[in-house]
Amino acid sequence: MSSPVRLSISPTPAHVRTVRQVAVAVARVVGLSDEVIDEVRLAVGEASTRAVSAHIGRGVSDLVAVEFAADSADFVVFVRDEAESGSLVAEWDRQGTDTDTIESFAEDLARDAAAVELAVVARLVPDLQVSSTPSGGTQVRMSWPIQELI
Amino acid sequence: MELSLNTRQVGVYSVLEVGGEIDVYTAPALRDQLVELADSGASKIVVDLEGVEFLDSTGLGVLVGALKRAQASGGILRLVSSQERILKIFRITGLEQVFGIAASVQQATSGQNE
Repeated sequence: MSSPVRLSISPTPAHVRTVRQVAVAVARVVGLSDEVIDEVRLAVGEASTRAVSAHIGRGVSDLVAVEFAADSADFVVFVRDEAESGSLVAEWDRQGTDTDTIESFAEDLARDAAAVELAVVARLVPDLQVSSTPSGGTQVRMSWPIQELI
Repeated sequence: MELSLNTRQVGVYSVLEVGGEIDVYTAPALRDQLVELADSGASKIVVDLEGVEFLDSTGLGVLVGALKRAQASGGILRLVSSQERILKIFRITGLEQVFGIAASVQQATSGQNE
């Protein structure tokens, strides 16, 4: 698949499911295995939930942007929000993929859902990058290798 | 299919049968149902996830909240799932060690998971 798929959604919880459905459809076109497609569905859902929740929490009505792209080697998904979330990026830079212990996970669920969503993504995505956007939002970039179909 | 919730009684256990997708959109309805069950005096709750097609961290948060409420009042909350795609999220978050997850409602209500 050479041409990307782009999706913009209102920051509404119901549309997170829409994003998941598109993610599954695009991943099928790319030719990912069913097992990887399940991971894509969960990871893209978590990243979109985080973005939508960040917009709702800060009263931002801008659209959340999701982009799917693939080349011969990788399937890449970007989720971009427009909410001010510099602290999340700073936390990500500090912790990276060294995520929570079992005990703290349950506590974190209650305290800081955004960190938990990202921790789940980190455990599902082989290549994950979290960065600030020029407009002050957050970009989550997730990438999966496309296995050779023999 | 979004979310279906049905409650039935199996002996002393209140079994909440959940179907569909549990995410940021549907999780509030699940939470409300679990709170209602606890408020009605149910102290032994089994959440049957066999009909669940999708579960994310928001849904896990609701289940963790229900478990904590149950434990705080001396009650029990168990989960039922035999589906790999559902069990996986419990495994990657480490929550499989926090919850008792039975393979069937029969197993969850037979007292083998005390």
